[in-house]
Amino acid sequence: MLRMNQKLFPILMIFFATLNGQSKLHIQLGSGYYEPNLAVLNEAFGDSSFFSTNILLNFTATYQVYYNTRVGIGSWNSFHRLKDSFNRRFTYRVFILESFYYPHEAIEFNFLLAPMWNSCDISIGIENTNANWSDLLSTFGNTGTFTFKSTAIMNSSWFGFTSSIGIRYYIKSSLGLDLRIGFTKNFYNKEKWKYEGETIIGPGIKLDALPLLRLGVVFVR
Amino acid sequence: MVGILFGQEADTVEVHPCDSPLLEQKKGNEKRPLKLSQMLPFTINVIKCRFSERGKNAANIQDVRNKKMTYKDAQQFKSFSSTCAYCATVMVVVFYLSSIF
Repeated sequence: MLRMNQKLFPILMIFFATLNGQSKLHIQLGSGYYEPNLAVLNEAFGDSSFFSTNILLNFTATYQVYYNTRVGIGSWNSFHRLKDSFNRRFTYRVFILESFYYPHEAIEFNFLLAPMWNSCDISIGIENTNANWSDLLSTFGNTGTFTFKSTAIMNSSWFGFTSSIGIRYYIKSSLGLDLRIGFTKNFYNKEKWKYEGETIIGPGIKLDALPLLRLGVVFVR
Repeated sequence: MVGILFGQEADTVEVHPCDSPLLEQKKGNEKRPLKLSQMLPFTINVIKCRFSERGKNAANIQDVRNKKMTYKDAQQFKSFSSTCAYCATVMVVVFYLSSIF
């Protein structure tokens, strides 16, 4: 046990010294453009728009762990909300390994590799009545009809991969603009949707290989 | 009598927010923790200091220094980071070439 601690301690010291010495937290908020084929889904909803189909809202947090390397997580979301009807949400979760270098003082070139764990939720809010519930409330002296709200959700998750190259311009040392071009590869399977614990068939959307353009504002701490 | 009292100048010296003893206490060499009651005046002083001319100058100097340090540290790839960059570049280029041809 003592020997293990003797080995572990210097390793931990080096690891935390590296983290502490080079610590820089980069928070990025931005938007992305991609081109998934959601025709089947949009037809089923009877509605589609450029924003709901092609635009991603991005949040990314990375931490500089080495001179040229950052690791972190990201969440890119695509929403489609229909009034009094279905909600659809794609969530692309990104586990980032990113390297970068500075050709000039305020300009950074960055290179990103990241596995992804993605999901899609389709939900609807339902207003319902239940005789037992109404009976119970009426025994307490309440009159009238009572409704309750519930949400029905079907969802699916799948692995993916993304890679991008980009350029970042630092307006200040703590603020930058980031532009990236890349792609995402998704291993989506329409036969792996879940509804109430049961496996069901979902929409045949095409997400296989998608070009991706992202633009964001970066805050450095 | 009242006029004389109000006419007197207060016998106090105004301290610049950047020279506040609370900032000195927190950020000086000793780095002693603040009491809970001192947190609000400390925060107000930090904000006032940051937006004062002295604070702006200090922030600009810090900004330039940070940029230079970051540039110096990362103007060239070190160790495995170039491998990651090569992989990412090749993948993106191959992806776009394959979608064209």
